[in-house]
Formats: sequence, structure tokens, C-alpha cells
Amino acid sequence: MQEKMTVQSTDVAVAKHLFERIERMGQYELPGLTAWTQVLGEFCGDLVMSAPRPSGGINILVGDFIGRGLPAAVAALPVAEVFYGMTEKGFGLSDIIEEINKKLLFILPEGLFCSACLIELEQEGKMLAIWNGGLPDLLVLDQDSNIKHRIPSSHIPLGVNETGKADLDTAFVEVEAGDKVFCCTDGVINSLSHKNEAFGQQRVEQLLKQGAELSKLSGAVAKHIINTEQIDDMTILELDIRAIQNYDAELVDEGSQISFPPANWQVDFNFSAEVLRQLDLVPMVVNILMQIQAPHEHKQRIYTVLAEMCGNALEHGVLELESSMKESANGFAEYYALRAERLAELENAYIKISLKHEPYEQGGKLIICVEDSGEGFDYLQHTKDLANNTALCGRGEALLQQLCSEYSYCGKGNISNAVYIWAA
Amino acid sequence: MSISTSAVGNKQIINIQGRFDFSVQGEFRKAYEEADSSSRFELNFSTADYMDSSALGMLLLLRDYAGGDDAKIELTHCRKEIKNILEISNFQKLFKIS
Repeated sequence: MQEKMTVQSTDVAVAKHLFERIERMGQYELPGLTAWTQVLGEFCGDLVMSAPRPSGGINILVGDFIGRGLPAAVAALPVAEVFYGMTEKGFGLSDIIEEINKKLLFILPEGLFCSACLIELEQEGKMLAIWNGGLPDLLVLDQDSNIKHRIPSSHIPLGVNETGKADLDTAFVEVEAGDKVFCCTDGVINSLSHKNEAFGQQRVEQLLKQGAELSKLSGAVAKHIINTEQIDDMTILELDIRAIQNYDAELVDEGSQISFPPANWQVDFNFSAEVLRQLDLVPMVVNILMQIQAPHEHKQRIYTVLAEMCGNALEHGVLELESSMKESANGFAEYYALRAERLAELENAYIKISLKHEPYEQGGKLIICVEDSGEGFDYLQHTKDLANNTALCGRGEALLQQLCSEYSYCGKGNISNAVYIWAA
Repeated sequence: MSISTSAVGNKQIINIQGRFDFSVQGEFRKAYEEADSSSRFELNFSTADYMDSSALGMLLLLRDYAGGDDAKIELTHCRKEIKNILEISNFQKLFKIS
């Protein structure tokens, strides 16, 4: 018996350790983001996660599992995995929400779900995208502690239903230095005093209006529950926009440093029809490229270059679609419908992508070569009126000419070459 | 999935999230066609990550829908890189970009 007890308490200790690590897995030390959490039992059913987005900005998740203890702790694992993994890969809020929901729906038993608020702070810290599913109103207060935005829960919590398009809509609010954002779990609102009186949303707002500070609010909650038994985990999150904006500027500078000096390397891909039918090449190739070596601030431009080159190879080379179709709104839609149709039936085709990198002056030189199995075209005769921007095609090539230091065709027109130079 | 809308008075606000390319062309078209063509349009790029030339084409289709030279369209919260792509194609001559 004694032995069994010891084993159980070791299990609990290990589980507790795991949970704490999961929650802090990628947690990002962000000046300006402060969270106050009051745990009821051994495990906390509340989650706070934050991670930087590769294109700049920060994603934040505040979650509250209904049901506490070990089940909540276990369910936190996939949430953390999806949140950190997808944020790192550059996915937006709606994709992350959809994926977490899908995972929770699959793993959680009936009756267990997760109320959550996901916040995406854009690069310069001036805009927030907010998705609130089941948490109390998220509040944005200005520097005089007036409530300037209120984002109530407008979605069902995660892990309840399959997501439809409407479930993914996010609210957008503009913020400025001096503003503070507050978000709490319902444990705060519902916490009872010894007189059995709930703390209430109104009290939260009154306190914030008297001076928007996390310490004041958490102090009042702690005082409220004195001499009572805590009934739920409680979390309050504060975002200080001024601190984040200041920090964001530093972060951008840091990002421009390369982890190791520009090196010589080459990667070659050969994608068959089978792969082309199923895989979106560009995000994957860009991710690989960024993971080997490329400065972060060039990611968007490199993405566009690869999107244009691969798009041309697939749509014009392999699928033999004509750009001229895209000259009207209906033609545009038809073009992409035909693209999907031909792609689904594609057999015996390939696209080869070669990325070659070498040191160049103070930075690096990336040579991109894309070859397709198509018939090519007469590129010597190929003259485009690049100045004419009102035609619905031909702009892709203008982008390539501008973004790359060299851009040309060879072979029978089925091979395109681009040279992209980045300075250190 | 990555396009959402809200209407404020006579203004249709279209929020673009993540990749702005051909994969959202249907959604994007729906987002502007649900508003009257005489509306004012604001395209919020604050959470847009990437765009390519098919997105430029989609912007021109919206411009066409909203009355061509008389269209009232503003592209807001554009990041530096997004602005760069728009300017390469001289879109600052066709749209108000901020």
C-alpha cells in the first residue's frame, strides 16, 4: 500500500513537471506580456502560450480547460504542439484555431473542452487580431484607463464542434502605445468570497477603470477569496502595448543577424506528378530554405519569387494554362477552376527546383532554377509590356525582374533562372 | 479561411490573413461581391504574410468591380514587404496605400 502511494505521487510529480514544461515549451519572454495564474490543485487547467511569428509579430493563446487536473494537463500537450509548431511555420490564427479544434475534437472525451482566446499582434504592435471562444470579454484600455475596445466571446470553445468558416472570423482592433489589453479566465469572474458572492465582470472593469494594472486586479481577486476555498484555476493576462512596441523594434534588428556566415550549399528537388497533385510546393521549399540559411527579412520576397517561378512552371508549363484567360473576373475564376481540374488529373509530369547558395560580397547569393516537363515557349520573341499594369497578366514577370538581380529563361523555355542577392 | 469581412456604414472592410494568392481567389471575390459596387472598400493587410502576382490580379478585379478609375479602395496596414510588392507594380497609382 505504502509502495503504491509512492508510485502514484511520483507519477503526479512527473506529470506536473511535464505539464509545466509543455506550457513553457516555447513560451517567449516578451516584455509587456504578464500573466498571473492561481492554481487550484496539482495541475493547472489554464494555459498561457506565446510565440513569435516568423514574419514578425507575436501569437498568444490563453486557454481554460473545463475539467481540471490531469485530463486538462494531458490535453494541453496537443494544444501546445499545434500552437508552437504552426506559429513557427508561419500559419495565421485561423489555421491554428482550426487545427487545435480538430485535434481536441478527436482526443477529448465528451464534456471536456477548452475555452480560449487567441491573439495575434502584428509586426509593429499596432493591430491585434483576436478570436475569443468562451472566455470573458477581452478588454483594451487606453492610457487614461477607459475601455476603448471590448471583444466578447463570439465563438464556441475549442473541441466542441467542427469548425465552419464563420467560426474562424477574428476581430481586428487598432492599438497604440499607452494601451493595455486584459484577458482573464472565468475562474476570476466566478471566484467566490466567504459571503458566497462572485467577483464578477463588473468588478473587474471597475478596478481596471481606476487604474489599468494587473497587480491591482490580481490583488483584489486574492483578497476577495481570502478565507474561502478556491473553486477554479484563475488566470489574468496583461499586454502592455508600449513595452511590446519598443521590444518589437529591437527584435527586428536582432532578426537581421545571420546565425552563421554565408556558406556554399545546394539542394535539388524533383517533384513528380503525384507530388504536384497533392503538395503545395512553395511554403515547403521556403521553409527548408529558411531553415538552412537565408536572412529572415528576405523571407517574404523570396517567397514571392518562388511562388512566381513555381506558379509559372506549374500553370503554364505543366498544366498548359493561358494567362490571357485571366482578363476578366469570370475568366480569372475559370482559370483557377481549370487549374484545379487539370492538376487533379495530372500524370507523367515533373517540376525540378534547384537552390544553390554561395557567399557573395558581405552576404549571400541564392541561385534558383526551376525546370518543368512542359513544352516551354519562345522566350526570345517574348516581349511583355511591363509598364502596362492594367492587364490582368504579365505582372508576375515584372515582379521577378524587380525582386531578382537576374532573371532569365533557357532550354526550350521550360527552364527559368533567378539570382537573388542579399547583403549581410 | 483567411479572408473575413465586416461592413461599417457604406464601407466594406476585407481582412486578409496569411497568404494572399490564388488559393483565396474565390473567397476574395465573394468578400467584395457581397458589398454593393458603389461601396468604399478597405483591404486590411495587417495580418497578410505573402502575396504574389495572382493577388495583384485579384486587386485589379476588385478595382474593376468598384468602378475602375472611380473606385474607392484603400489598402491599409501594409507591411514593408507587401508595400514593396505593390509598388513594384506601380499599384500606388491605382490604389490608396497606407
